[in-house]
Amino acid sequence: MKQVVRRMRPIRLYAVAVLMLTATLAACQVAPTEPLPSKKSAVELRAIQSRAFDTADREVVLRAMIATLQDLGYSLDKVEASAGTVTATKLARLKMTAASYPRGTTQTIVRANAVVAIGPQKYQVDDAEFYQLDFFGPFSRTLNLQAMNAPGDEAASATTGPAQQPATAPATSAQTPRS
Amino acid sequence: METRRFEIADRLSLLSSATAALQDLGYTVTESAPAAGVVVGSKQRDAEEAGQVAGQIALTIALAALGAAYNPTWDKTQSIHLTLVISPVGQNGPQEIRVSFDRYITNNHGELWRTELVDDPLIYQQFYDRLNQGLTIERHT
Repeated sequence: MKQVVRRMRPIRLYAVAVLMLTATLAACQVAPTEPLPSKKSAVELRAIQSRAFDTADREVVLRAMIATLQDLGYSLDKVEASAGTVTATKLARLKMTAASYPRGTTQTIVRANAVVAIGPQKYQVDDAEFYQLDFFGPFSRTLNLQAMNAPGDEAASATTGPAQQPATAPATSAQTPRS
Repeated sequence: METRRFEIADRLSLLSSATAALQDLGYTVTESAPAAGVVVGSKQRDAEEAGQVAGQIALTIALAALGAAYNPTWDKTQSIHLTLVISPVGQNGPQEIRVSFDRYITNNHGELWRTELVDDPLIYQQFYDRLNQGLTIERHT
């Protein structure tokens, strides 16, 4: 019997050590910081998040992006005029990056993507209505130009319909923050 | 409340004056993009108010007397953010400055528990007064 107990001791010690290590690792675990990605396809996301505008003036587009974000209550985090990107945060909960790039010689594409924090978890925003109503709508009015579907590929255009109307694609895993 | 027009054509010079005003008020510049006419700053300030602390402690004592436990919570510190954008009005004409503030308040447990846009006109006026003072000094030196 004593031999059995002796034989078990190292096993028990090993088990205790494993438990302690697990507990230590669990205590060290930090809240997740990486946003949960959308389950929508890249093509679908691109259609939801992009619009084309009939202007080649990137400075005007950049100014309109900044003005729109400020109108919507964001504070600016980073502005890269040469790259045409603006990153801004709204009340610590909603972070948006808007980027512009030329298409041909007469158009500019604007793409916006947002991440929302709900508790310690962040989520990529993939709701078409959010982008239309809470960014591209006000942005079009500031720029005084109509927004058009941006992606060049037909598949993307087919998923959302005309961008001039508020998109109505259902939010699947999307988080829909309201500005 | 947020916007003022300045009869100055030189955007970079106005941006420098605005940055100086922001520093005068204790802000640290966190982002500056002169080509876009943007400067962003932030500062940390105490947010503790004696009335709020006293109220929370009184509530804790009252609830303890009734046998209920309560963890008193009050505003402890605040982080104030300022976003300033300069835009031209027409070509080679005056410039328009738009400034907006928000603040994040942390409680006595170290948690971020309140965020809000600042809509007190006095805060905006204070900034523009400081900017105008700076512009007057620069004009006479």
